[in-house]
Amino acid sequence: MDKNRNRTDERENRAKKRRKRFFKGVTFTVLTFLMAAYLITVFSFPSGMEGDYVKERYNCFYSQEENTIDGVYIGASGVDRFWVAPQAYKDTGITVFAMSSSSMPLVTFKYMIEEVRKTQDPKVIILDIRSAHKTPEDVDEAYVRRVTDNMKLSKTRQECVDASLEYLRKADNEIDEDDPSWYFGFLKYHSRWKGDMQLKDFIDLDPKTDYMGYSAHLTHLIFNTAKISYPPINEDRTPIDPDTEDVLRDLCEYINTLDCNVVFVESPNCHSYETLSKRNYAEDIVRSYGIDVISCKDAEYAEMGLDFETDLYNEGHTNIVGAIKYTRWLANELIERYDLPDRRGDDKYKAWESAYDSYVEQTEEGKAELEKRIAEVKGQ
Amino acid sequence: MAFASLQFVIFLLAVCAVYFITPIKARWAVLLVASYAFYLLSSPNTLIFMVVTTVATFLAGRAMGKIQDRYQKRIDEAKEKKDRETQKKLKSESKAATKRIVVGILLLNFGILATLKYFWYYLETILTNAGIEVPFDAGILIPLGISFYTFQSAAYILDIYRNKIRPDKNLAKLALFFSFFPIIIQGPISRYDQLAHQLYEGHTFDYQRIAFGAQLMIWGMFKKLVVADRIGALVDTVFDNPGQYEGFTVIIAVICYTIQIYADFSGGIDIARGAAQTLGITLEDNFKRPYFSDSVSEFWRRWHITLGNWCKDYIFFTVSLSPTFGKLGKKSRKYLGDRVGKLMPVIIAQILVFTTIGVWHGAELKYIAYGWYQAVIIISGMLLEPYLKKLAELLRINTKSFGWKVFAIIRTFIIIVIGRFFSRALSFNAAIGMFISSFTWNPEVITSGAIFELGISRWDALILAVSLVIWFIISVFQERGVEIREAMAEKNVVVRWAFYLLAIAAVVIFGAYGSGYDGAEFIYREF
Repeated sequence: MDKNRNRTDERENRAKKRRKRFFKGVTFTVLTFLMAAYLITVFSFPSGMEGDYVKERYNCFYSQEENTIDGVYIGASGVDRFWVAPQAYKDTGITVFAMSSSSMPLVTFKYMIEEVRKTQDPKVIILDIRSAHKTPEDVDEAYVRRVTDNMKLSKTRQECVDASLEYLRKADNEIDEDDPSWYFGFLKYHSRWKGDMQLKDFIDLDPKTDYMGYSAHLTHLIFNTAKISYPPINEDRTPIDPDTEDVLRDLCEYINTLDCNVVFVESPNCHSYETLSKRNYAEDIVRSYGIDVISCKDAEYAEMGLDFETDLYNEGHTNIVGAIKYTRWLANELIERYDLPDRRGDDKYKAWESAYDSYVEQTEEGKAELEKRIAEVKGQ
Repeated sequence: MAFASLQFVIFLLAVCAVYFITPIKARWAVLLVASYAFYLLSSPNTLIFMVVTTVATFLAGRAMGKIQDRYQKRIDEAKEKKDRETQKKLKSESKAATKRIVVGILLLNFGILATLKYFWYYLETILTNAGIEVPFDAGILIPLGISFYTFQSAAYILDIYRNKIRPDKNLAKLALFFSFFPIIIQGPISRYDQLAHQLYEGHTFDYQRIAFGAQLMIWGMFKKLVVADRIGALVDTVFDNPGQYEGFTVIIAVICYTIQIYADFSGGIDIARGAAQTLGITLEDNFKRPYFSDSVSEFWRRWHITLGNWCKDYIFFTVSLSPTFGKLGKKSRKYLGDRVGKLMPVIIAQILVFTTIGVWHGAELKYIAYGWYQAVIIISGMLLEPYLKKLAELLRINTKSFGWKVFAIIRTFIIIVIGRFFSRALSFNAAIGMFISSFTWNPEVITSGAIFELGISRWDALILAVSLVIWFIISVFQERGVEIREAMAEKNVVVRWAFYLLAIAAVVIFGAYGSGYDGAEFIYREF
């Protein structure tokens, strides 16, 4: 009897040990995965100034409630320095998000449209045509990574990476197109520990700006003014790079499969004559596909009241005063052409109310200062 | 497929999963399939050579076994009749018959090794020097692990010849012994009597064993990714541009290489041993803190231990104890004196051993020079031993004191570092040139921070310093007989797990892999 009881006890002890070890193993594995998930989030595309606040902009977009964005404006800095989304909402009630990143390559536009349409049903997609004059040589690794490394992991992101790398391969550059970190950013960003990390990187895992894409945080730029020459009248056309033309045509073909309005826009700038000629050429291509183009020229500048001598901080970008003028003008254009609804007063769009409040808090003082300086300049 | 990679971890996880759900008797087959899959993923074009070596060795072993069995029957009969003469004669005939097979199979296997690893290299060199365009890359055809499985197959055949083991009757099982995936890249060179039965008998799932195996793998990855791959950047910059650097830069680079080669090799072995341990297989340790050695002889008992043991068992003792070299030793006493004459077989054996070790590393002259350098040091030590002992007595040096031990360790380390010039420099001439240039006095390269322009930043140097301190402390504990993993297992679970998680985090964050991040690239300049 004792022997049997001992054997039973032994068996029970062994079973207990096995259960304990199994539980320990599972717990440790879960802890390891949690730690890995935390590290992958922390050691990712940089936030803040270092990453040009692109991560914050994307996170802001992804945090929006589904189907609360009636328009999305996609492109490079010709978007986020110009389109003051909270101001447009305040003035007209339209909800158009500035989904951009600095020097956003044209080849990524198609995938950004796809990405946006996963959670939003925009009535109009506005595309910045200012990238169309560039060549594969002009595209840097950082320009592509600002887009791809901030998109959520998905087939769209992978396709965006593939297409971008195919475009980059056409150039004689030092970019390693076979680097697996294109698909798994941690392989690159884990070495940010060498002096590029701050405490906020470890604490704020989902940094966001609250300005619906407008670069209100770039206070060292948007509150400045520079005397820029008025852009020359340019009706010339210069062919764009053939690889970029292929990308543009592919984009136009894709646009024609969509069931929403799409318009290409060239925001005000005083870039070189050749650049402007190339953009004219690109606009012709877009029009040939039956797609709308809004090209800002003399008449448009006059309509929006843009003064090149005070409303820009460099030849390519408006300061906040110029941006507000542009925004008001474009908002009216969009409402007239595409009948965008007024969402003011609708509880579903509370985020846009708070975005405006944040935007005012961020820019009120600086804007007032800038307006004072502009008045002084004009007074002279 | 590199060991220190996510792909290998995923591969191992998959193998473990399949291994432990397979019926225990068939688990060896899982290892065989996994090993060949690993080989196909890593070096598919050269699998045929390993297959040829495996099949040829199997058939040779079986043939030898049959001859030995036949003769053994007759030897047993003679033993019953107490006929010692006949027994002796039959043993001699058996040895002679099997020797022919041994010679043939060794010629075949080492012939394949020599052709693929050395012949094509020399042919490429001759053609290039003659200005003839070489239509092939000699490196492409070198099979993964060819040195390791060739040496393993040689040991297997020689052990059968010496009646130490019986030949394996199962070709598939023998194929597993030669191709076992954790050892195919870097070893250790395993013996049939120690490894085979472990591979063939299935092992049960054991949480503690798997945890220990995983811990050893993390330690190996730490050495490889955090230390070796990081320090390698500086080593490459200096050694790949031999004429550009001198003095302290060269000294620092060769010391860094001495650390790099140890971290890389021992790290790889730890990953291999850890991976094997998760599957229930214990592999021999290949390193026992070699830089704590107080003599070059001891160094070679602690460095690449399995290669050293292989050379000792199959070259050193074979030569030094052979009647031929025994006679040579006797003759030498006439001309060189009793002491030196007695040492002659040992000296020749050492030369052969270290020539083998040199050639093992590669075909170039610099590797042979590397091997001979070690041989010269060891032989000199042997010949000068009585004189050095007298000198120590004269100077009243206590060679058993701690101070002497520290001196001996540092002295040995310096000797080893000098040898590293040969194994890392681009060529024999470059090695000599760099060694001579290291005598230039230029300490300003350290004080000016010029060192941080050679491929490692101050951050890298900081991580390296911390890592080396941690490694040194652990090595000291191990030298004192402390089993680190077992000691950690005794600690409180929170402390233990925090340590393990930190170790994993340290490897994934500080590992020198990936394309590297430069914040300057990302700052938008076109404001």
